[in-house]
Amino acid sequence: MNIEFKGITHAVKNREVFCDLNAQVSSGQCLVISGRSGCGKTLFFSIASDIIRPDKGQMLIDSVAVNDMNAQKYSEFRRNLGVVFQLSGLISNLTLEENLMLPLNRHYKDVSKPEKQERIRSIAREFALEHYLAQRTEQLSSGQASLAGLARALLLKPKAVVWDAPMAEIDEQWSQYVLDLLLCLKQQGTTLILCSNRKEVIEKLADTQLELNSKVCFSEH
Amino acid sequence: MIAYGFLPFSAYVISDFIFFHRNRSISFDVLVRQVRFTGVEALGLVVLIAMLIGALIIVQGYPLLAAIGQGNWIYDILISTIVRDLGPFIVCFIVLARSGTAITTELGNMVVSKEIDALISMGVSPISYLVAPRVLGMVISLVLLMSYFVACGIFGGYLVSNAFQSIPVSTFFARLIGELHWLDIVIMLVKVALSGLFISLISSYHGLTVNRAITEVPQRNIKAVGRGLISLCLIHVGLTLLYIVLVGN
Repeated sequence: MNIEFKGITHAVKNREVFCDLNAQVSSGQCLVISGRSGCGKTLFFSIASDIIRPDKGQMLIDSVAVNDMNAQKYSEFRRNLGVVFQLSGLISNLTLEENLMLPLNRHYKDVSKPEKQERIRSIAREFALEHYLAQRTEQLSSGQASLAGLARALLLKPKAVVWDAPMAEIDEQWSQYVLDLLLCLKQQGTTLILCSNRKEVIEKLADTQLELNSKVCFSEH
Repeated sequence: MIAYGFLPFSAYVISDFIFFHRNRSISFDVLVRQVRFTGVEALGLVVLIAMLIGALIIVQGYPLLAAIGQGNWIYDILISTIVRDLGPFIVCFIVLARSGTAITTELGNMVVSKEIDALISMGVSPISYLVAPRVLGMVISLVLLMSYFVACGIFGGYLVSNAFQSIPVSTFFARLIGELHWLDIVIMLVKVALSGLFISLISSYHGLTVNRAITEVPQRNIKAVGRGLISLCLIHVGLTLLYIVLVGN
């Protein structure tokens, strides 16, 4: 999935955070967004995951502007974009299994329940979460919740993954595993957009680094 | 949709729940949970209040009416209070205080913890998943609760009326049904259904307008309860006036 940001301009409470920002990331590549705290990394994450629309400019997916997509195309875009939040974004009054079931129920209405449950168990095993499937997500530790957020994003085998502050809550051992996993996804052609200042993320994964300053400027890594 | 204000939001939600079946794969569980929380778990409170009110009407009203030789008016009073006017208002007020505030708090907290953003990112519409089933659930629950309220209020009234004058069950209910007008039932159902619709829409709207801070949640709750109460008063007064115009009295 090729993702292009074209002329993104966005202000928050009359303060212009992005001014004519342009960036592009192709299939199998990784764009890392970095910069000091408060520079707009999370805002960029929200724009890249189409949770908020910029004041000006547009995001293009394989040369098609997200704003111009019809309902079917947009649903397809949502299915192919895995989004991982810094604070997991798991629905707190649901069990982990119900959380993981949600995107499957939304995008794979025709798949049988046992098949969906098997898929959930398989991804939960991958992140050592299989014993927590019946628990409400508020009972998970922050590290487990982060992994569960990643599991939910990868459940639909997305063509692109957008992650805000990857591995911020995950211990060292799991960080290494997740780094290797992201590297593997990249090699398989998944597009990655990561908002992070972590050295190992930039060194191991970044093909392009976008450094956000007071007003945006960027440098190639 | 939230940014456009309450009316466009309400229109969008109503259009969404008309086509509820399209989203039932994700929304049905939320609907069941809402009916359980509002319509079933509030049962004890509603039954207690209904029986107390039914009993109080008889305790206070029957001796006075009997003293002026109009003991039969007690059926009229039971119908107007339990079925038509006071009963629906009390049930709706309980639901506003209990479930309305719960909806505002829950949705407000979901906004703050980015759960709404997560739903959007999965392609799940927060309106279809969170709001429409709650609205539908609230309307169904209020109709259910009102049925319990009427049954228990009248039963409570019957139990206490036996202390003053022994009346066979069949006679009591035959007289009561004789005094009941079909419009009493229609007005009661319209009152609770409309109230359920407005309570859930107002509570959901205020929950979703929380921006970022957890401190906004109680502020939004206060607004939701205030506006919910105003809408309840308008609905109930308006429909009572309509009843008076249609039936007289």
